[in-house]
Amino acid sequence: MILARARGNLTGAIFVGPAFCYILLVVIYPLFYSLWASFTNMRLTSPLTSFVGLDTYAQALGSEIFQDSLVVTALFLASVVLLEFILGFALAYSFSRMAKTHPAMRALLLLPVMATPVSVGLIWKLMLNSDFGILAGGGVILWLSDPQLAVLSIVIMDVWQWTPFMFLILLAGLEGLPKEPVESAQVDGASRWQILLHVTLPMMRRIIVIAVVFRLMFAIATFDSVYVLTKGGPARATDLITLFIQREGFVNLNIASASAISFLVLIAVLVVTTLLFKRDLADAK
Amino acid sequence: MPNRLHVAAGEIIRVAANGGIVALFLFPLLWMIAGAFKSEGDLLSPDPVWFFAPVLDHWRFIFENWAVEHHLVNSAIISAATTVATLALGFPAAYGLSRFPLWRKDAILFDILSLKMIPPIASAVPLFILARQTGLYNTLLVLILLNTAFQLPFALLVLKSFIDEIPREIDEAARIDGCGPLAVMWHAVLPLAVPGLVCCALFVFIFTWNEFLLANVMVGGEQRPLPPIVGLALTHRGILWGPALALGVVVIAPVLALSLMLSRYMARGLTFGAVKG
Repeated sequence: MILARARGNLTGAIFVGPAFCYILLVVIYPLFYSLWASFTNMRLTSPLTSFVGLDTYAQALGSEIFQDSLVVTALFLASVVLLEFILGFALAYSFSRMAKTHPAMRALLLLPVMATPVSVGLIWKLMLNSDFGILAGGGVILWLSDPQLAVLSIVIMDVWQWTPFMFLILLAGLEGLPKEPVESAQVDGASRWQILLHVTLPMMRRIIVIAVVFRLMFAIATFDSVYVLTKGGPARATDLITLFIQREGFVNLNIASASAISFLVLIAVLVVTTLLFKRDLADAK
Repeated sequence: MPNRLHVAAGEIIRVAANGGIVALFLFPLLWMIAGAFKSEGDLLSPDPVWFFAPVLDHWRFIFENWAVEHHLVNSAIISAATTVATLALGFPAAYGLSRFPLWRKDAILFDILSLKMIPPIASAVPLFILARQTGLYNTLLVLILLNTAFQLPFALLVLKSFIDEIPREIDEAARIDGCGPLAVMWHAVLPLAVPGLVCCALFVFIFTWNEFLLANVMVGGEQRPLPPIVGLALTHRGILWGPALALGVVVIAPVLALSLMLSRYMARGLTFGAVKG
């Protein structure tokens, strides 16, 4: 019995091994490299690298640019996840109340999710352009040159692209729910709102967690579309942490600082996934 | 009778309202596509131009000045090779994860998912340095190798969700016929997993095609795929709007076409198999 299990383990390991080693090499190696680099003062422009302990972290955490970027990122993440959840749920609920499933409508609605982010950035750069953009009200609304409106711009762009994602996941959840609890609540005379709040939403818990966590994780990685739309400007108003890291690493060539901040982001991501997700993912099996 | 009429009217309103929202979401895409065919004057007019005579100036421009066909081929090579490599490595691994009693399997699955959650920018700097040291910098190969690694966690989880649905009796029957583990996978399971492979392949192809961050730092000049080329239209002196939009359409067109083929599997793909949809 134990032998058979060990053999199964070994055969399994042979199947899984190549892919696993490859992932470890390309995805895990950089993490250790980053960790090491973050304790040095490495710059691509300077041949001299020495160990500086936590100095790089102290400098990064103390820098105003980093703190501003953190605030913008937090604001962006909170707004897009909340807005996309509310709009996505409303849309999914509305779709679930139609008599037929309308697969063509669903397929078309999902195009923004798959759309190339670089093109998405261009689309919104065009629509929000202050001289001739269709949403600029004839040059009245300065979407991309006013700092506050610029933040709103990247939020609008993201909400357009990712609300269909929330919609799709939540719709799959709504359609997978058993009918009886809703029916018996109807018999008991509950209103539509009461049913939604006290019957449907609690039953949707797992799927809501999946939708929100996936969206949050992808949203943290947002880079391409914002890079094209605002490049972090004006005056760093839309300087998401990913744009900040890219600039530190590839423009300022400050490898140590880029690595340290990457590492902080990484830890944040892993903590959030583990806390929010591990239980609900295990529930699925 | 009035009641039935009432129900039918309600349904029509619901379909119309939802259809309107779908149209609203499609509008930005259509607006870009229309823009790519507008003359400079129509495109930059402060009053939106709804009806116009289509012109091909911008298309001629991007093919004549930026050799778009060359970068299109690069994109196709990188995406296709990444897709093949990802499936070749990913399918056996997904099969192993689905069928064999691996040590701490749940933890492994969770770790795979966590890996996918890491923002690519977090590893871009070390990978860039690694690419410089190994001489792979500025080759198509480096993008294929890196994209394969970044797409593997996704492919593993999605393929596993498909293989999990293939009854284990299939494996048993093949084993009784004298197949070893590899032959079971190849002759018995693989043919039944074709829909899963196709779904996974399309997703990996699209994700790789869309990839900008690595492409932007790992290669330059002739080796660039399409997404970084868009930068050519965003010059210091201003944006070349017509060419920019034409490029945007070139990049996005294959993605939109493939996405429509994928719609049935969207929920599963976008949650890495966590939602069957």
